[in-house]
Amino acid sequence: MAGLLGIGQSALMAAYAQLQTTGHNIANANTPGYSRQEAVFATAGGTYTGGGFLGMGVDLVTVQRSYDRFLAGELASSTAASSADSTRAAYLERLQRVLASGDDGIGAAIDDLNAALADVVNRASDPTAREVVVQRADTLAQRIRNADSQMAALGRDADDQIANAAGRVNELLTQFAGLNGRISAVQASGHAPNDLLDERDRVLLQLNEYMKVTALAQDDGTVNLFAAGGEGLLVGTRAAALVVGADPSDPSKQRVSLQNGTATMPMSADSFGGGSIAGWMNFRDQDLAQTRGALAKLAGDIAQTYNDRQKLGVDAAGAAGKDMFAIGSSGVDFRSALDSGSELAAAWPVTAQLGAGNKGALKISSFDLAGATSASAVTITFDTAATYRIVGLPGGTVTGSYVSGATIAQDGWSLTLRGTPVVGDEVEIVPNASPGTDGRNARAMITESAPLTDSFATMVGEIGARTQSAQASRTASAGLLSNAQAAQAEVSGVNLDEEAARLMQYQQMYQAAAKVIQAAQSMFDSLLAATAR
Amino acid sequence: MTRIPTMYAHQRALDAMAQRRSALNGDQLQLSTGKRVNDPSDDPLAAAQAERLRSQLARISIENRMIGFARQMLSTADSTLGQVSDALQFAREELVSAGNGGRSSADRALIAQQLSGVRDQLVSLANSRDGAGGYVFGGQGATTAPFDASSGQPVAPAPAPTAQGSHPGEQYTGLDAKYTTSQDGRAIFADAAGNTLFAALDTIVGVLGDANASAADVSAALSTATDALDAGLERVLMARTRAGEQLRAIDAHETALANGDLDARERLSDLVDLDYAAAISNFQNNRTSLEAAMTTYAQIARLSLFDYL
Repeated sequence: MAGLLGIGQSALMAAYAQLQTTGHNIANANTPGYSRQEAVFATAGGTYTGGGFLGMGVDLVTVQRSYDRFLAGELASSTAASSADSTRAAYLERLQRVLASGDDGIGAAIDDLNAALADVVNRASDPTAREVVVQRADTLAQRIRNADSQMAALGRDADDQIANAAGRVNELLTQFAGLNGRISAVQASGHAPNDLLDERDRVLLQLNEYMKVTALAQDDGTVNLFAAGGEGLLVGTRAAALVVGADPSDPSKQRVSLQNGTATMPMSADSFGGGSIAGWMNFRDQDLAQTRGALAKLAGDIAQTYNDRQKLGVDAAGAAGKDMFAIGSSGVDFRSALDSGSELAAAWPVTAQLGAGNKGALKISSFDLAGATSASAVTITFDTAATYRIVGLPGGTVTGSYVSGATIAQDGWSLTLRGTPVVGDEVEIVPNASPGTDGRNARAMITESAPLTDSFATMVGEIGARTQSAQASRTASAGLLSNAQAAQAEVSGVNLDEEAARLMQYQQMYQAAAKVIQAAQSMFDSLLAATAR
Repeated sequence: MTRIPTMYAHQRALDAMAQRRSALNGDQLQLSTGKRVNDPSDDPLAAAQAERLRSQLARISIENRMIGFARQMLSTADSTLGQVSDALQFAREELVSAGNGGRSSADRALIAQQLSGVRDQLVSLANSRDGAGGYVFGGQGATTAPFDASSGQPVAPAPAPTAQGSHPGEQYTGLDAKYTTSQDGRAIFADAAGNTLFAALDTIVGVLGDANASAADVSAALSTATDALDAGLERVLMARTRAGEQLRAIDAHETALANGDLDARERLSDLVDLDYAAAISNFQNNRTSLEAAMTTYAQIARLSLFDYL
């Protein structure tokens, strides 16, 4: 009877333990990182009697959590990958908006400048048209400066985020080390401290949001952590720390290093391997740096195109043109250098004309200025109908044979003549007498700046493609993360219907066990009654 | 059999609904902006191409502005030359009438007076303003009237010749093609030796106004003046022909530009503008999906074994 009472009691205790576990599961059904637990039972064995082995009831072996190490590892690494990709995509989306296309873009500002130059071509003597060019050049410079300073701000933002994340990583590493200590202390009991283990896994998952961390379990129950590049982050209860400081090779940038005791080593995006820190670093060092580089190149091309033309031409007063744009030494400090409309070198220093006494049918088909000219007055005299002599060039007299339609290029200018000359006919290259009313150089600025808007369009396409591919990576890695979450949840998550069934099941077991005790008691009572005399 | 953890099931349903909602938001943005490509990443190729087309349209508008200016200048020159031509015709008829043997010296004086009026009219036509701050026949660099109003001589210093062509003093505009925006008055109102029509008229006015001039002098002077006017008429006609040719070229160029403009706009629209039918259909699809997700979620989430215990 004592045996039956014992069996009933063990069953009662077992059912109660399972009910407690089920209650714990229900209570934590919505706790992030919680792994479903279950009580593990085993028979308590039997005692030998002459009639065989009689069972002794049930034993509670342990309470274990539903957990799969591999699935947890996969969840951690896909968290790191997804976090890196989504961070980079979000920052690229901000970056592509900095390079607005359309009417607010840099391309439109170039076109606006050219439209103002077109008005100067139409009427070079109009001071208003020249003033508009100055304004538009300023607007263009301002747009480029704005784009660059917005990009610089994005870079600083990424730096701040990296510094914050590094601080958070250090906190999490400290937490992790503490949990390692507590877990190894209770490990000796022989039972797994399920809730502490869940807590530690949760911290590991949080760490992976910032950087990819590999975990290596030790026999004493602790877990050692390593960065993607193999750098040791945490051994036992000793945690390394991330330190953020100015990059010695580029003080404008922040560098993250790992400090382990007295040793310090710089960490690259590759050594972070994933997580938002890698996302920010890749964005800052690759996407942003390259886009800023492209903008700086475009700004340089813009300056060169217009400045080169300015240098070839002369301004309204006949003085050699000064630069239209100036680029500062630091990054893209792009400024308009024109102070007034009269400084616009819209004119060419020289012009071509037929000699006043020409007898032949010689005509000037075109005259162009492609390079620097000394602006020397030059006379081309036809000694025969097929040969000419150029007098007045800085390099001395030049002779050549004449073919109608062929180009004569000297001293920066090129001249195309048509028709048959008579001996003695002349073509003169003379200094421009009224540079204030000449718009030929302005026209050359418009035609030569065509490739600029094209490079801007290419930039827009490139940043778009970059962002699109980052968005695709984000979608893909988010899908992988979602799969890993599903796989892990399938093993570790709490299903309330299941717990409801368990509740019923073990309530019934509890009731049955109570009946066993009641039976033992009533048997004992019967025995007492039978023996009581 | 797959276990579906309760928290995860809720989370997944919420995620799915959030996704649908974000797709709906995207559709709504497209419908409200009317654009298929709102950010370069929506379609990088189309975004770059659209930027190129925008620039191409800007260039077409620059070209249009330039040739519009040329058209205005050339039309003004053409109509002014028409008036010059009329005045010269009139003067020529007067010269013929002055050569009539029956004319008395008083008659000739009257004709001289009329010719003097024609001469003043011609000077004022030659000094016509172009309505844009310059002079129709000023040539390049003219900031003052090309001819002196009283002497009729070209104002010194003579306008500097420019590039292009055999007609010094002309100004050009246009990117793809070049059009004259100014005519050199010297090539019209004066011959190659620099003798102006005004001077020719001054001379004949002087002779006709002189009551003592002999018939032979008058006849010789009339003949010289008629020759000068005929040569002048020819030059005016040449100038008008040149202007007319350029105006015709401008017409053709404008048509080509308008076609290019239309073409670029159409391509731009194809690239970035929204196909409303497709967008609305997408929107409806996503809306139906979201509604279905909500309805089924509400029904499934309500099911619990606890309700039956």
